[in-house]
Amino acid sequence: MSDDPGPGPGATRPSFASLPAEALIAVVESSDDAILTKDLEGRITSWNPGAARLYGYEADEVVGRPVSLIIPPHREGEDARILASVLEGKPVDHYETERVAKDGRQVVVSLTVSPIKDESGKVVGASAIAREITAQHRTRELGGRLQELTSELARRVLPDEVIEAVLEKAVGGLGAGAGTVGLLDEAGEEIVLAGSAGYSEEGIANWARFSIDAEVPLAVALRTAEGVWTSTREELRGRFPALEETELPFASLAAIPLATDAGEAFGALALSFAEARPFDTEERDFLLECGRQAARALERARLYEAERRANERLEFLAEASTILSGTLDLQTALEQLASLSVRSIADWCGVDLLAEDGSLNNVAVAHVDPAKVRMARELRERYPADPDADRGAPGVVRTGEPELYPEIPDAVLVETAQDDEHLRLIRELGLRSAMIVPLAVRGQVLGALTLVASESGRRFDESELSLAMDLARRAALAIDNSLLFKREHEAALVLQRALLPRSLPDVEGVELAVRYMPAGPGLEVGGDWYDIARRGDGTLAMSIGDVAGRGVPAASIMGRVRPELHAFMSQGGDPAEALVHAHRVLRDLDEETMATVLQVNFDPRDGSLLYARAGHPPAVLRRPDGRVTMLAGKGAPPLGVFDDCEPEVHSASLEPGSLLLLYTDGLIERRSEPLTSGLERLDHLMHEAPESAESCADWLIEQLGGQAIPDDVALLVMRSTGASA
Amino acid sequence: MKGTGLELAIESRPLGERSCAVVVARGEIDLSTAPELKKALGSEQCGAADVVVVDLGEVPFVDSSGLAALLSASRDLDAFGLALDSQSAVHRLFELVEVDDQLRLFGSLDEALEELAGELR
Repeated sequence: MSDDPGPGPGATRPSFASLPAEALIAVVESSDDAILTKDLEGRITSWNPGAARLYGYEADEVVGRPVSLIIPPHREGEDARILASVLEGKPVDHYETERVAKDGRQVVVSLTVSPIKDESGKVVGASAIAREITAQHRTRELGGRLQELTSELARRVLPDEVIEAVLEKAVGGLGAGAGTVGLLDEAGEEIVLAGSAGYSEEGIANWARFSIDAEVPLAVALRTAEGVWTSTREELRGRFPALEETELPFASLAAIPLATDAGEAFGALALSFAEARPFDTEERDFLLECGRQAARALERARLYEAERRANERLEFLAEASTILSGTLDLQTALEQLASLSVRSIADWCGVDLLAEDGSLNNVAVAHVDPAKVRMARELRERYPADPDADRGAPGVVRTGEPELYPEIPDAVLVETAQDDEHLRLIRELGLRSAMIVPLAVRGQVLGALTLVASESGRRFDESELSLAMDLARRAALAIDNSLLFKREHEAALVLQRALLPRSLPDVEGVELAVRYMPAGPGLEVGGDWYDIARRGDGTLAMSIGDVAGRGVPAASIMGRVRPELHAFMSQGGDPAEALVHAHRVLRDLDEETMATVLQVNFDPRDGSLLYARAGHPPAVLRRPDGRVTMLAGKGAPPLGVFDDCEPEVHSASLEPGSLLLLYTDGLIERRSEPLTSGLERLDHLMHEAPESAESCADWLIEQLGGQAIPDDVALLVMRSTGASA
Repeated sequence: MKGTGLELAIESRPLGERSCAVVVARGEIDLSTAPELKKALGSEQCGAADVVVVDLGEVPFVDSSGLAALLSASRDLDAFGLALDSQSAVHRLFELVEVDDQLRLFGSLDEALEELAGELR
């Protein structure tokens, strides 16, 4: 229970009304809020100390003057609208707007305007209460900007995009006049300018890269991982005299570190403002928080980019590998590789290989523009590279060590140039960055791969060097394989030429044809042979043989046996003697081996024939009347296995127009059927075979499988024409 | 070199007091698989046995390399023979190449073992 009389029942007027006038005045005078009253024409009729504090005008300066005095240009006409609204009975309550103080400062206020009525209830004016909310407003604003920045950053994927967003939001949103973002390079020694806004080209031209130890706000922020704040031009100049010469149209500057959550700074953001800024705690916190958001986004973007680059690298290497393994034609492969490189990782690509004589030959040069390639070739022709040079491809080939020029210093161009004209031309090429890596395999350097950046402005660094080395490893392997294959192939050809007689003796009364087809891809040699010798007594000695095995090992044995046999059979003697000789030769070899041989002596004058076999398929004879017989007299086992060899000699007689076929088992033996079937087939074929020796040879091979014959094949066709000796 | 076309197993079959090694072959004996046969025939097990027989019952094809391996073994081993069907393609091959004198050919494994062991006494 209280003694307070309070409004009794039936009281309708507000409690203020019960206060004496002085009390009411005291309430208004002591209020922190700005309270003013105005008449219906908008003239100020009263003004409290709160208003004086807020707007800077004393009461006597403003009473009687229009309230538009404190209304900023962009809010022009607002007063009239407010008044109109109040007159209609619509109150203006906690309306946020800006007002301008005497000193020009803008303040943000929350305005409440109410009508003033006389006793009759007619509106005679309005009272306005304004609460300054500049601080809260700013906090809200800053919060909003931070939100905007964060959500924009979330949308950006690549580092460049992130930096762009940061500068946009900072320079635009915060009212900064200009901004720059600097990032620490891989070596950790220099800061590279990664983005800028609001500066002229010339203004920042000198600041593309600078030492991390430089005494400039960006570097300090990065080194210390703390914000740098200078509020006035004088303060900036005073603390950072290094900026003396730089144009500084801005008054205040804030440099904020970009750091990982662990606190390691990897970059910095600098913002410059046209007006002097105090950078109070709230603003500093805000800017540092922006820095943190930006750093996180940048880190994320860099990770993404690194992954993407790694994938691109893998794709590039995979494509390179495909090219390299796609063809054994080395020239084509290297040219394709160079083309791929200039589409993906460099502007120029060159491949140099060591020749047998030790000289370095340029094997491929590529650039996206063919005209430039021509120019480069001409340049090389006019000024051939110095093979003893310390640097470049010759140097790399000699040392086996790669060379990396992130920026090609002019001094290197001067050193390389052979005269002024040369220097001028290579300067014109605009070469900026280069890497030269050795093409090495199994410890041996085969040449060098050169990659140069020019127009693209790329700058090669350690990670790209390692990509180049990867590429070079693969290329070197492919080159090695190709050279190996080429050498093997050449060796095989030389061997083949040496092993078998190319020309056939010209013998009267006899037509001869020979064929030799080794099986196996790419190889030209095998263990089969044919041989013909014209003897002093006018007879013809022929042999056909098959060393067990295939390829070079068999050929190597055949290469030792055949010449011996040839020498022996040229001297005379019967076929059995020749076989025994061949047997001895084989037994004497180091290798354990076996050979089947058929030896024939034929006298064209009388058509008499002698033969001996050792494990070899029988010769096939077609007589002029069409009868086909196999010369299958008993033979000895294959040569080279047992100690003894005692072959029997058999004879036959050939009428003129007979066709004799000597062959190796590759002609008739097939996995899928017994040898006897092959012999039968041959028997049938000989019935149909064409007359002439050459045609017969071709026809038989074709009938029996041609190129698809899986084993080595040698054959000799002899047609006795009967022409007298 | 694919050596997957031939399966080889060496079994021990004593016959009375004689020790016999049976090389059971399944598959083709050609350029790529002949080395394995050579190795088996040159093994200690075969070297120590009194009688060695190669069962060619399931060998459809033998080429010159296979033949060379068999011929070498017949030269190096004292009691050596082959068991195979006399009508088979391989038998015909041996006839054509005229090694059917040098190589002891038998129609069955048991026949081969008995004959060869018998000759040793």
